[in-house]
Amino acid sequence: MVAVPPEAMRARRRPLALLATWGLELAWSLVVATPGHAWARAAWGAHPDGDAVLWTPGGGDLLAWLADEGAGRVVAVRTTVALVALGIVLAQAPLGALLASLAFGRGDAGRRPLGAALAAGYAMRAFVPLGSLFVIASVLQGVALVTFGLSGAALEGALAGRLGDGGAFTLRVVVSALGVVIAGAIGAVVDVGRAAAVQAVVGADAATTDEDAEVAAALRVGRPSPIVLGLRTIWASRGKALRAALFAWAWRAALGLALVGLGAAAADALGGRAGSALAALVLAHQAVVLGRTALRASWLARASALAARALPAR
Amino acid sequence: MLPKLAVAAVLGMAAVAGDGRAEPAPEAAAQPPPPSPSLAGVPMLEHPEHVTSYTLRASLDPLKHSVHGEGTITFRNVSTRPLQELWLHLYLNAFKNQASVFMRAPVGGFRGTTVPASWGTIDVRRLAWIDSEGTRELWPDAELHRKDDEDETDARVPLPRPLAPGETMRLEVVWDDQLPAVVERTGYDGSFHMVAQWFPKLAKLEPDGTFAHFPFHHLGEFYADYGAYDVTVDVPEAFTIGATGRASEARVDKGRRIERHVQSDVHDFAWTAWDKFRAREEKIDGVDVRILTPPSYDALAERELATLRFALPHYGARYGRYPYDVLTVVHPPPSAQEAGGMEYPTLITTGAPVYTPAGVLQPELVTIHEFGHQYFYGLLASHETSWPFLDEGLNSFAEAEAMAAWRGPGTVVDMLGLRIGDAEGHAMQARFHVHDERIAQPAYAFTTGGAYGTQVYSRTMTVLETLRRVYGDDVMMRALGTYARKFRFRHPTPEDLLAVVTAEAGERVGKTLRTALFDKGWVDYVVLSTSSHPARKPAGIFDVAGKRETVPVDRSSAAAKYEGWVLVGRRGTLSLPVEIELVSEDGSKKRVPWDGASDSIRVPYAGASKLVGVVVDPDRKVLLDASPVNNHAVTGGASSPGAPRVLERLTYWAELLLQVVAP
Repeated sequence: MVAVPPEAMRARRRPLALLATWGLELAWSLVVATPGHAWARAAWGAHPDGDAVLWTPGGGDLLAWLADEGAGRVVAVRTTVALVALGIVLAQAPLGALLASLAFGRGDAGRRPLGAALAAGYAMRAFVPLGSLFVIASVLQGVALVTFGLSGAALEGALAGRLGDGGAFTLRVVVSALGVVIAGAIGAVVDVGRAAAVQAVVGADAATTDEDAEVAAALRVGRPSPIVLGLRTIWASRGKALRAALFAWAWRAALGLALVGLGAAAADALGGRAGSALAALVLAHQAVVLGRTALRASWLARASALAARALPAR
Repeated sequence: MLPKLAVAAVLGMAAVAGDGRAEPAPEAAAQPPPPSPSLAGVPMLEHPEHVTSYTLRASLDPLKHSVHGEGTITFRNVSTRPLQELWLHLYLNAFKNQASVFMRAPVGGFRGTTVPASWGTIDVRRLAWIDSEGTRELWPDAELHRKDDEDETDARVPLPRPLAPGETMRLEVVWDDQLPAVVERTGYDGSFHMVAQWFPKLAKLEPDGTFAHFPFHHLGEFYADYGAYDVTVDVPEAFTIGATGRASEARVDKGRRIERHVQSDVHDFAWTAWDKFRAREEKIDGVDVRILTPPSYDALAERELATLRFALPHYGARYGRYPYDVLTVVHPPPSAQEAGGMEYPTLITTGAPVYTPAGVLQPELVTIHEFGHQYFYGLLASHETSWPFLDEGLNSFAEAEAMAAWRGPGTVVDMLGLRIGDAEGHAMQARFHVHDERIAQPAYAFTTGGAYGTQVYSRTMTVLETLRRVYGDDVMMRALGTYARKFRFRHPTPEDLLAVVTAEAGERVGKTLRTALFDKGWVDYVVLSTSSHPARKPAGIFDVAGKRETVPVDRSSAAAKYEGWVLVGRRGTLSLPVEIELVSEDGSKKRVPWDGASDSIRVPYAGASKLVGVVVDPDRKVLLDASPVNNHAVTGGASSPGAPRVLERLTYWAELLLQVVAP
């Protein structure tokens, strides 16, 4: 196993890792959707038109279903929330595997992929550091969202008289949106730390020469934890390189958002009530998800390269 | 009055994709219906009998949020008995302290706060009877509240001599209002002032010589005699005034804006004043409509005007011509939104956030609902406290009917492919509290605000819409159109409504309506069981032409014909005709009508292919159905269509969610 040179870190060089990430997302999402699906199936599955009636104009059956005071709704909602929360925790594993796969490989300059078993193994070892960074990122993002959200509301109230209700509300939306962008940027910056943490975990095992081994051994003895290393890497990579990377993140995020819009447009056009239309919608929606996964992987490759350049030793 | 629309949950589902269906454009269905020919002959009063008329002057101090008022009240004893006393409603005192009936009523779950940020009062300074014998001061002997009850909204005023039947009395009155911070319907917010329930108002005199007097309750407040109102309002020059009736005089004098508003044939008067109002005016169907909004609400003002462009001719055709030549629509500022969604003669308050998307029809719904009150409150003037469903229930039905006629199926939400209807939303609400309380009961008898809102607004609407869908638009609209015309200006009761519905729509409809209103009537159609199998020759021993033959059991699975049955039950105390749709394996469908009179029906099936499913009431005419999810079934052996669309959407949404919230 060798480290991939930073300039060679590309998501497109790891198509199987990308597909595996998408496959895991799909699989867990199917699990998350199961309680709601079971609830819908119990209510409308025996209708000759199935759950297509939920899309009837007027929404009478949709409302009757959602307003059902039975236990089905409560069970479905609570179970779904629990599965989403569990999914967030478990998501550290495929992220770690993807980061390891992007930054390391086999053969000449790591052109050949690591292999699923090896990537999974490193993912498990990186689980705790990635989880810790996730908590740190979530706290910072939460603070940004709440701060900007409350500031937007306060500004709306304070300036409604001067700007008018419409203008004040627009200001609130802008300020709140700024909070969302900043929260996203925090996530992107922490991605550099995530990449560094994974590289630190994997790098210690990546020695293929005696010299590397000596470095790795030294790292094992005196190096900081991957979490600290990740945070230090964020700090070390600040400046022009990070700003450029954030731009790279921003356009990918914008494109990802546009893909969601395309997915909604596809749903509106296809409808998805009949068999073939439903199949087409499945394909369209999964294409959206796959596209967003590819954009995410592309950004993580960029973050991995940034981390690789900033790390003291790999 | 309109409760807050719970659209947030609906909006949460807005990402549901559309189905590419073809629906007529809203404009295509937006023409007002011609009045039924049979309604042309329905007698309709041109004017009410005037009993109580007011000539008042009111001066607003916007810094103290107080109003000084004085004027005269002319009252005629139209009953058959001499009157020994008067009853005066002083409804601003509902906000005086927490001992008022308004504040004490434990009816959470409905709109409005019961603890205003600042209290409100009305203090009568003078009430005098002026007649040929001189001036008699009445207020010193007035009984402001009952023993052991500190509510001061319902004052008894003994008369020094009886007022004979047919005799008219003239009262001089002087009073002062301290407006509360906006409480649901009246009060101030900054320099915005909504002035309603603001003057000493005589309770309605009933034909038997009693007064229909009652304290101001959280859930009911309206019932009064018709008369003429001549009110001169005096506010600072910078303020814009909106008020009941047309401004017959308007001038500025010494820094004060003075407007005289005159309106006949009404039973109340309200006004508003704010120094930030923007006004927009338009003549619609012969009526001068004036919209008053906060600054930067131009888009909403246009939406509210568009609503009235449809509503005025539509309601005119349905329930009789709007008889006044003016209508003022007040859109309160967002900080005073509790003043929105209220009705007064020729003046309504509406409301919606300035950023309301075009696909969320809150401005249209609130506006059309409050406009509808010009009929079901203004022109019919039922006892809203005793029979709130006659106001809010019928008006909610009129609102949903009009919105559907105007905008098609998406009358609450029409965006992102999701179309949620007003009637369907009410039907959903109506399924709550089905068995708890009667619809037809006084406002103060409801145990909670939630029960009041559900029964009075939603369940009444659902009952009437169910009857309209089941028995036909022409039948029910003729009945309600007749009721609205026949009882215009006449203060009808539930029995008046039931009599008209029975006469116009038939005995069964009248009985159903009575049961639904008075006896907690409910219904739930349910598919109990189904069967489908190949048509076979009966097996067994048969005696044919003197010979005994044994026919073996045919166990073949294929057959040229199939037969079977479905067993459908009706639970509840209401019986309504429904259709039962039988679905065959080859895709063909057959509808069988059932009068719904019995508790159940077994519907036979015979066809070229297997019976695979059944749907009771496939067009969802019976909105009252307590549980639509038991109205269908697949037959044994037939594969269930399942819920693949929900699985697809939920999976996709979960993927997107995890991509956002997971690392």
